[in-house]
Amino acid sequence: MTDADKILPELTKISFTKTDLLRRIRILREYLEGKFFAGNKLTFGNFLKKSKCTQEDLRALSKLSNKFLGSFTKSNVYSLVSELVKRSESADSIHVYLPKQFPERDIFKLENWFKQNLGESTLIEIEVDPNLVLGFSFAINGVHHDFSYKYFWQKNRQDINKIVDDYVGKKNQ
Amino acid sequence: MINPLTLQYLLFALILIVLVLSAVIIYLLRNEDYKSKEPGSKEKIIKKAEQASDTIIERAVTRAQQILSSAQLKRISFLSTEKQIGRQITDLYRRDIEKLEAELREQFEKNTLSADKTYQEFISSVEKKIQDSLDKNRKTIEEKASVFIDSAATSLTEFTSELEKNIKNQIESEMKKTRMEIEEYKTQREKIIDEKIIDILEEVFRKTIDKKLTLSDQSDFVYQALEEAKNSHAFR
Repeated sequence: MTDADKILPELTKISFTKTDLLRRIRILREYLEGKFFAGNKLTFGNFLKKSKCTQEDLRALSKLSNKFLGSFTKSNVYSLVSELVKRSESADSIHVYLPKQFPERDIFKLENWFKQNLGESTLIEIEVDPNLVLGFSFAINGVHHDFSYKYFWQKNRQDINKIVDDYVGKKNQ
Repeated sequence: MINPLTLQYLLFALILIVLVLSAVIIYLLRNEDYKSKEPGSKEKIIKKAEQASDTIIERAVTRAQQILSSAQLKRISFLSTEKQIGRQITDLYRRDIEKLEAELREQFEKNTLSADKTYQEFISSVEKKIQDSLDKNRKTIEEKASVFIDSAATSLTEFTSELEKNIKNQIESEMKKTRMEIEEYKTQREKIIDEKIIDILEEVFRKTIDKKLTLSDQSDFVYQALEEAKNSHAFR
């Protein structure tokens, strides 16, 4: 098992999307470059507080342990970061399509649902598709799955047909 | 009997002889006169010769006239006889012709009657034969036509019956097929109408639900769908 194999799952645990993951690797690289090559003596927590990262990034990256940070040395920092970026870019993610733009708290809640139900290393990409009307759809491994209103409609089609048949039957009597 | 034309030739020859003899006598007398050389005797001799020649010529003319008269009489007699004979021949000939004509007419009438009779008999025979032939042919035709008509009527009846049966079968088959097609069409149309109704309902639902749902409702549907997807193992 390489260092990248150990480090990447830690980063994906704290990231919901591939974009989050790549952005957080970039923040981490800035900190490590400062520490190893610019003589920066700041702790990682203080670096995050001083940097312009979002509260979400701050909260997520604060979860990383000192042991995790100790995996990086002056000699392996560039090669390890490059490997992390490379693997993150090629990592599998689930494209999730929602019918509307939800507020951030709802998105966070949704991302947590994926982490809790499909595993902590799950990465998702959220996009908006108004044609879905309700529910959601997603694409995984190149296969699209529709759980929008069409899914619910088809699921209840027999009941709908029965209602229509009953109505037509009554009308013809 | 001498031909009158021959008599005329003889008379003409006699006159010529007399004239030649007269001319010879005159010549001999003149020639004798020159020899005598006597003027008185010469005139006497000429006078005597003239007298003699006149007598001779007169006699010759008289005789010639007699001969001519006799010849004319003969000729007249001959012509009269000849005319009479010709008339007799003509009469005889006419009588023969009339007789022959009568005979020919009689024969012709006989032949005509015979030919007419024969022709009538022939016509009657031919008429009878034609009538017999016509009767026979008519009878044959009637018999054959009767057989043919009976046969045709039977065939036509059978054909009509068969045709009627075939048409009936075809119509029944077509009717059955048409009924099936109508039922199928009806079912198809009903299915299409049902589909359309559902499609219309779906469209109405889509348009109305899109406006009516709140964010909370939307969120509930998303989580319900997520659970459905998880339970159906769609994420694997």
